[in-house]
Amino acid sequence: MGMTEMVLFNLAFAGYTLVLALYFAYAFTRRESFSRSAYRLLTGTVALHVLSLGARVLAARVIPEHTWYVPWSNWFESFSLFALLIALVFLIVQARTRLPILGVFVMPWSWLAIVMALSYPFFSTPNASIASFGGFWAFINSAREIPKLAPALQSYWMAIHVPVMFFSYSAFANAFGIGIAYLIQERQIKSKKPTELSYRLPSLEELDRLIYRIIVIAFPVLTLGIMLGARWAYDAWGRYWGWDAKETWALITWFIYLIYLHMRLVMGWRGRRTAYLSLAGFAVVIFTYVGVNYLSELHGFLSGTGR
Amino acid sequence: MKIFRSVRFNVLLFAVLVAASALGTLLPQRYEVPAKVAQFLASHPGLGPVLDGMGFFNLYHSSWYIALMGLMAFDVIVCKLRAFPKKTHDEDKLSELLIAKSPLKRNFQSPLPLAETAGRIKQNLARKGYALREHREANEVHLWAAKHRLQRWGDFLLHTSIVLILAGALAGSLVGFEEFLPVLEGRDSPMRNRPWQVAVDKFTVKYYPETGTARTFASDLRVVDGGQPVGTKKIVVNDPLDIGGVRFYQASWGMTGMLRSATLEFQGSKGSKMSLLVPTGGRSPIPDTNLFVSADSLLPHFTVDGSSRPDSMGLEPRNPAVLIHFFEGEKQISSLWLLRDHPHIAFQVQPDESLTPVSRPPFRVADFDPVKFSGIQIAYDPGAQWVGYGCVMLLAGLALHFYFHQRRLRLLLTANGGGTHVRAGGWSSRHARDFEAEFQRLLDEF
Repeated sequence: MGMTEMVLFNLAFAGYTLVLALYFAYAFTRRESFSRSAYRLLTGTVALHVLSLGARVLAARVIPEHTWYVPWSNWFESFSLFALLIALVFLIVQARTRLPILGVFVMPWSWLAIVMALSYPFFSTPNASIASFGGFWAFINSAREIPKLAPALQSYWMAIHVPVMFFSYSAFANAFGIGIAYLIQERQIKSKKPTELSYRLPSLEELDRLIYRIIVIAFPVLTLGIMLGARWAYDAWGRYWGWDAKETWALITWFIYLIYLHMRLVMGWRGRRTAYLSLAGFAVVIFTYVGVNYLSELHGFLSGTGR
Repeated sequence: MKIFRSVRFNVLLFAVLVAASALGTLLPQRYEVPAKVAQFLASHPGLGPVLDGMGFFNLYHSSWYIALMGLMAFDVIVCKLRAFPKKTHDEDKLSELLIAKSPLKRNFQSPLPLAETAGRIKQNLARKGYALREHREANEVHLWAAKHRLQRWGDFLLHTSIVLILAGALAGSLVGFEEFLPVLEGRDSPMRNRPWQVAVDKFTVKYYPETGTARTFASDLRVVDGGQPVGTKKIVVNDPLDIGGVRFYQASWGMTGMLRSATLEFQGSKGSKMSLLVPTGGRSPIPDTNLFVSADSLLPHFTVDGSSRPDSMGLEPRNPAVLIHFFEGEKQISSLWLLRDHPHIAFQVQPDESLTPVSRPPFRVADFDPVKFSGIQIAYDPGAQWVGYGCVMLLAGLALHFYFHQRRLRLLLTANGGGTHVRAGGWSSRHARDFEAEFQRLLDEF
């Protein structure tokens, strides 16, 4: 990894941490200055994060043998992209809704994604012995090495398929966070003693419609992402669909959100039941992204050849 | 037929497909890992055969799973494809009652006369992309305005596309074929599904420096039909050769276990390092001795199995080892597995074929020239292009249905004194609240 990239990424990590702290400070103190600072800092952090990806592309020239390289090719890089896109989608949601309280429910997932980006060594070598802080730092940073890509991953499809999938995943992460906000708000309203949080959160109807609007935008993007993956598989593996575990779980994700849309649009479901469906949808997204690595031979960071 | 049109039934069908698809990723599948299926059957003598009989180890190709997919297509046909989406026919005339029925409505008074008010409203709506229709009566102007009427096709298109995608997949599975053909470099092999010979004239693999990780591999492929070449191309991963829809993919590669030669290094009698090229198929004399050596076989990813026998964990050279035999005259006196990347370790082959470790072996493998094979995946799928058309239709349908926003306005303008009384009604393909702000803004502009 390059020094510039490392510094930019570390700054972005610090930025996300501070943004999260500011949103929580806003939730507990009701001071608007915290929410304004969080929004500005998040915009700057996203910009830094984008720059770090650019710097990583430059740093990747240490492996001149790559015919194609994009900075979302392994565990670290894809989680880093996931964190960035969750934050980016949240910025758009913020710009449209002006509801900074939602930062408390969405931004933890972006921060967690960044932490997960650095966690790869714990998954790949769970029995590693670490004796000192220096050893721990080196262990963590081993996640950030520029990967030596398998031939199949050196493709322009990598530049298209992966970000489209992650954009939809990130939007679903936003819907998931807002779904939790919905359930909390519902409980607060039903309780005899609503807390300050209840007054900060918008109405249940508004939260429900916001979840729907995000899913309705993300679902066609997920469909596009799956299709682009199928097209890539057609060129790489000789079939557009092979029932690989990753492909199958992407289809399951698609079906879960399809059920959500049918229940909401045709059956008229609203509120808690659709909120639960959106939560289930994102749980499947996470399993498709992380859990399937233990099942898939073709897409696995950990078990297969996709590393 | 009513049940197939029921949303509850279809959602239940989606849920069953979800559960079945998930199960297929948790149970080993025969097309993917046949050895694990055999292992599962051996360790579950009761449950295993029952699951096998129900097709759970070839789940996605089992008759019941295909029937579920077929049922989904059937449901789409009976639910959605009975007729094209109807164009909304505007009424011949507007009335107060019709406007009152609209989800959004508003009345206001314009100080301008009827003709001028109607003209301004029409101009404003046309500028915003609304298509207009007008009906005039003595003291009234009836206006219908609509935008993004194509949106009504979204639902139809996206459901039709599901049928097309599933039909394309079915056609591909019925008429198409897939086969895997390992071809030795410099040789050819016959295909099973076409009377063609597939030759790999040259196979190239390039590694990342100082690793056994391949960064690219390629085959100079030549396909011959009755002695006549029908296609040639250097194929690499992600870039196949296409001959009339039959596509040849560079899928994998590996070492066959055969060698052309091995280069051994050892200490000569005078203490200097010596190198000896050992071609396969014969014995080479070891200088300054009466011994001979031969190198016959190779294991690309050497390991010792549980019964102390040599084995390979894969076909790529992650830990290559060469088997060499030593001879004294005609008599074989010893056999050693030499590890290229671990020159301080070797394994001696015992008479019962088991291995015992040898430290500080006298020889090391400096290099070897393996016989490689190129794994060619061959596929013919005439349904793929229909699946492709289906995907485009599905995306167009989803975009129209969810990203476009059909809007309809009804405006009844009545002359009222010197001014005009305007009654406006609005409808949108989205929730009324999503259109409300725009509707009110439009009327404010009027």
